[in-house]
Amino acid sequence: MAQPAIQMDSLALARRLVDAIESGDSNHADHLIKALHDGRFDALYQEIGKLTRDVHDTFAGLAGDERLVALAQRHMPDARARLNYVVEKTEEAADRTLTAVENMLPKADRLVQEALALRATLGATAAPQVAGFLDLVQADSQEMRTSLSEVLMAQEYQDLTGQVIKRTIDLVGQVEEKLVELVAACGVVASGGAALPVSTASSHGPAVREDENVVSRQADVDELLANLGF
Amino acid sequence: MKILVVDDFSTMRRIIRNLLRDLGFSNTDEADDGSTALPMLRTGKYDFLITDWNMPIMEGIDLVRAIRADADLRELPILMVTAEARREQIVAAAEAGVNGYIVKPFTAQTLEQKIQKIFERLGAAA
Repeated sequence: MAQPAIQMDSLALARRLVDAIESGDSNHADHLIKALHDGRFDALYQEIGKLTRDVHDTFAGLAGDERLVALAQRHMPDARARLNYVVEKTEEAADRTLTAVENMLPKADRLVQEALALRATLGATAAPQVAGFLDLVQADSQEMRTSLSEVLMAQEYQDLTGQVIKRTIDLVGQVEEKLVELVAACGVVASGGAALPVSTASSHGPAVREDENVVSRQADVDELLANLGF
Repeated sequence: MKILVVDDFSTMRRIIRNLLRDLGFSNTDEADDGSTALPMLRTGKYDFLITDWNMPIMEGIDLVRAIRADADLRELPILMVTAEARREQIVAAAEAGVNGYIVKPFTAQTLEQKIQKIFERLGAAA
């Protein structure tokens, strides 16, 4: 018998196999076929064994890695809390702004009305300086009203940014949940990490990136609706 | 004219109610999602509904469908004001039976135009 077939490379084995078949040595040919087959699977088993050891070592390493535990148990919940804080603070700020605007709007309206009424009452008898002052009060109050309406509309940002941040909080929660599972699988005792349900809502929130399937302007919405017979 | 404004963000409810007041509609109420809006609509004799889409518990699109399936409410004019801007969503809203659709961010002018347009069409149809 020749040297152990397993240690020969596949090409040399194949050449010997061809020789054996051509010379009609079927016993040797069968032996070489088995050697080719075994050699391939041995290599596969060796690879699987190596991968298994790698995975085991990696998990063992993760189990001892306190950064992973800290990430799952402290940093992710902390990130959610910070994002919640942003939502709360911007909502508070928007509410305070709206309260101030709602307080000022009727006052601006009243100034316009009063200036107009007094101007009408005084008529031609009004001293030029008084008439000029009343005109100024009316014009400036009108402009104040327009600006206040602009401030009011600008608070819309809180709804839009709030929706985006709430979705990000959901995502962080889901990643956190997976990390907690990973830590548990690595044999580290993990507590906490409230599971968040995966969102199945039919809505997508404000469009923050350009996407051809998303309409960006009211004119596009109107066009689409017009096509639908609206 | 009695109007119900439905949105889960209080900021947006306040903005819309202020804009409506400027347009001469001062008789307005608010609800924070479809599930609180529906009982109000059934007892409150509202003439017009402005609703968001993305809300907890009962979304705006489901509120629209519930209204269109309700014998007493099915004629109620509905304007959807939402950040949802995907084409298939606008089509879905149209199919569900909204009378108008505004994407956030929007302007006071857009709100006025869309409300006017809805009443013009309802007036022409009547």
